[in-house]
Amino acid sequence: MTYFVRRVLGMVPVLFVTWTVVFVVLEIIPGDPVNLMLAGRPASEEVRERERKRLGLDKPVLVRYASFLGRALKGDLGESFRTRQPVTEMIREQLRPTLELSLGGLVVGLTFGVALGVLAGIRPNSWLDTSSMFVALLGVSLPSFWTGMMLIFLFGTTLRWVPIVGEGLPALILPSITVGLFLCGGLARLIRSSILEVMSQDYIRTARAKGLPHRVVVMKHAMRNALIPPVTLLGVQFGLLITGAVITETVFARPGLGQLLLQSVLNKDIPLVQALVVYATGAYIVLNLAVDLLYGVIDPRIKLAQAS
Amino acid sequence: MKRLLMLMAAAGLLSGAGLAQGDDVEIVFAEDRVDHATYDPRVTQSRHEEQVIVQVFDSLLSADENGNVHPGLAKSWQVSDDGLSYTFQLRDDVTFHDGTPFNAEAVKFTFDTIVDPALGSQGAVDIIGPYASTEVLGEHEVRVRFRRPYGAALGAFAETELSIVSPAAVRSMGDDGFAQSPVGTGPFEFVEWEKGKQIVLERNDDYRWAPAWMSHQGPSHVRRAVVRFIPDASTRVAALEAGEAQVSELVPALDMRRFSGGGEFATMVGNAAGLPYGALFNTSRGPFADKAVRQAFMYAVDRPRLAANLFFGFADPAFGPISSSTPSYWPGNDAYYPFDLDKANALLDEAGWKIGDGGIRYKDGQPLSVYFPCLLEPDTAVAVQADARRAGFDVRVENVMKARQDELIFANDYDMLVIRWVSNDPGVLSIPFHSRNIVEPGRFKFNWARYADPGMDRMLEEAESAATARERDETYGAIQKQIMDEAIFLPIHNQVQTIAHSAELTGFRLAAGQWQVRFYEVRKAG
Repeated sequence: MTYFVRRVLGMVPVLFVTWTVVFVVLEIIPGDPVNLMLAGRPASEEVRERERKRLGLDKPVLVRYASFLGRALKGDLGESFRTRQPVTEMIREQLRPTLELSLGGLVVGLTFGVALGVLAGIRPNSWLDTSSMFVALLGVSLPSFWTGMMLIFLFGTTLRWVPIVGEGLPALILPSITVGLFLCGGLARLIRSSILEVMSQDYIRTARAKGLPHRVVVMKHAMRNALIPPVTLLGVQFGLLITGAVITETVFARPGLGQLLLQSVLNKDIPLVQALVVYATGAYIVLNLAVDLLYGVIDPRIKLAQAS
Repeated sequence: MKRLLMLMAAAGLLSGAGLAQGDDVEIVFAEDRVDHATYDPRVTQSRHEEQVIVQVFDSLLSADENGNVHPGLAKSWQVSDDGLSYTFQLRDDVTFHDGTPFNAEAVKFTFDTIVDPALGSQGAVDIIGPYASTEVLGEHEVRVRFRRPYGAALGAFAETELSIVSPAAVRSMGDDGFAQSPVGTGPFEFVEWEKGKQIVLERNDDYRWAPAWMSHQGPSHVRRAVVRFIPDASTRVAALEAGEAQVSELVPALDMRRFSGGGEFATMVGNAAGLPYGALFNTSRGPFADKAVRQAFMYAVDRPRLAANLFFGFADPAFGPISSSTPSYWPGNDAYYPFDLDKANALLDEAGWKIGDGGIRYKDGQPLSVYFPCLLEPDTAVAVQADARRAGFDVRVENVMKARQDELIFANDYDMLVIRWVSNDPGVLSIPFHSRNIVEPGRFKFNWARYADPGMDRMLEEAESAATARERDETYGAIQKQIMDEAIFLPIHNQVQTIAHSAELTGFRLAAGQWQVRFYEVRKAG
């Protein structure tokens, strides 16, 4: 428990540093926010002055920095230049579709990644290994805009088994496969090498010597120890997903944070970019913590080592 | 329980898209852009947002797809002899979607708020021109005054941006709230905006005031219309083919060719009014400071062939600074700079640019090299590059993003840039050709040719306040002639809106300006 508290407290300086960097970078880059907001429209000095006041840009840098941090702590990251909506609200609206796609992709990726990895790992250099790794290689190498289009063409337009841009769970199938294929590739390869390494350990030989059946050796003794590297990878990749899978979102016309980030950058919507960076750091930190805690569940020795 | 669930499932299926009772239909429109920000007609500047706005609102006057003006919410109108005021008799049988009546006060409210800087109008504030005030003469009569004669006024009153908004709705929701949930008098009511995904519209069952020129009166046959944001063109086409969308905009040329052969789908092409897709020459520096070099470049580009190759016949080559569907288009444009490589070569020879290494021309040891950063349609830029190469130009095309292009514009570091602009008003010519629109530090503007001519400025201002249509046409004609004579803009092709829809439906009509599709008249075919 104290470990957990310590980790949570450890997040504070990281967040503080990232937010400061975000503020400083946006302060340094050229371009008057009022100009960006008016999008090149001719406007009188009076209108500009009023907008400047409204955005708080007439105050000194340090005052603005303090108020930025203060508001950020309260969860208020300002208004979008473009839509004039609170940016936290805009992010919140896109959270659900993003999480849906992330979870869908995770389910697909985990299922196929583990299956392929284990199959390949326990029978190295067999035809099973070769074909599993071939599929895994396809998964990591094929770009998602291509797999997405192919899935649409095959299952959406030709066979008409699933909707392309429709509603609800059926519409989540193709995008989840697109995202999942990518996850599954990396995961399968890492699980394979991890299992191969574990299988050559002394304790596996001991387990075999005890006369345990192959299934028990693999599932109970090998798997657990082989899981640490894949879980780390999964943590990082899931982090990428919950900050938005922009290409998959575009191909399947799904709302989500990827789209929002893309549009905010193209429109130079600074408060929105800023808020998305703040969200992404927060999400990564929480995810890292979750992964670290998971290590302890997978391998209790890690928890003991951390506690001491 | 199980039976109940099955019944619910069946009911759920029946309420799905495409199925509806009797002659009613439900449609899904596949829309290209995701980043919609406002549906307040007074605020918007986006032709994509107007795809929604045009269904929800009506204007005082209504314009058909060719820009002809007819009565709309106003039954009749009179123009004062001095051309400064317009008196409108309004319909007395119109209500907004929120139940409040449409009247003179709503017109005054709409126009007064457009010119109030607090609203932050982007498009309407320009379209309303030298607006002075609106006077309520009676419950259903208003007089709109201008500060100076405004020849474009009648066209302006028919524009989507000058649609009449519900004052009660604006007051209760505020401007920002209204932008998210607009209330008008149009054939469709705004139901829901799922950000990044879609807009849901439902039929206005009380709609009895369609403009008389439309093929249908009374409520629409379309019960429910969804504007679904699908940014990827192949996905739009796939959704159309799978029956998940009934109509799609911006369909790629190859798919248009496939769909136009009859069968399950039908196509429709809009020739957008405004500036065609074309390139502005930077007259302030480099080889293009010389008019002869600009003219040679224009002679060197084979526009009909280029349009045919890149768009499979779906986009016409452009010859004037505004497209031929724009009011006041000058027919004389068509004779300018036909493809003529010999003439291009002769002009360059005369200007002192001689063929040197690798077929590139040189003058005083400097190559005829021009920098062409391209934000829109890089494939077209490459085709232009290849044509110009044959006359000895070394065109350096670079595919740039908006931010990079802005930087180059402020730094005056380019020789040519592409521009396009959808607008029903030839007044759009001021945007790239009036000298007040040359970029200054910190003020982004669009005269990228950096062309400054007091005569041009004066004509543009005169045309805007021309009292009669004839005077206006003549002045805009002279403006177009000068732009072509001076060779500061290379028109390349008309902007086209390529629509494909299910052949089971008919009645899709382009709005004035030929970009948005009106859903009102859509019904089952046959």
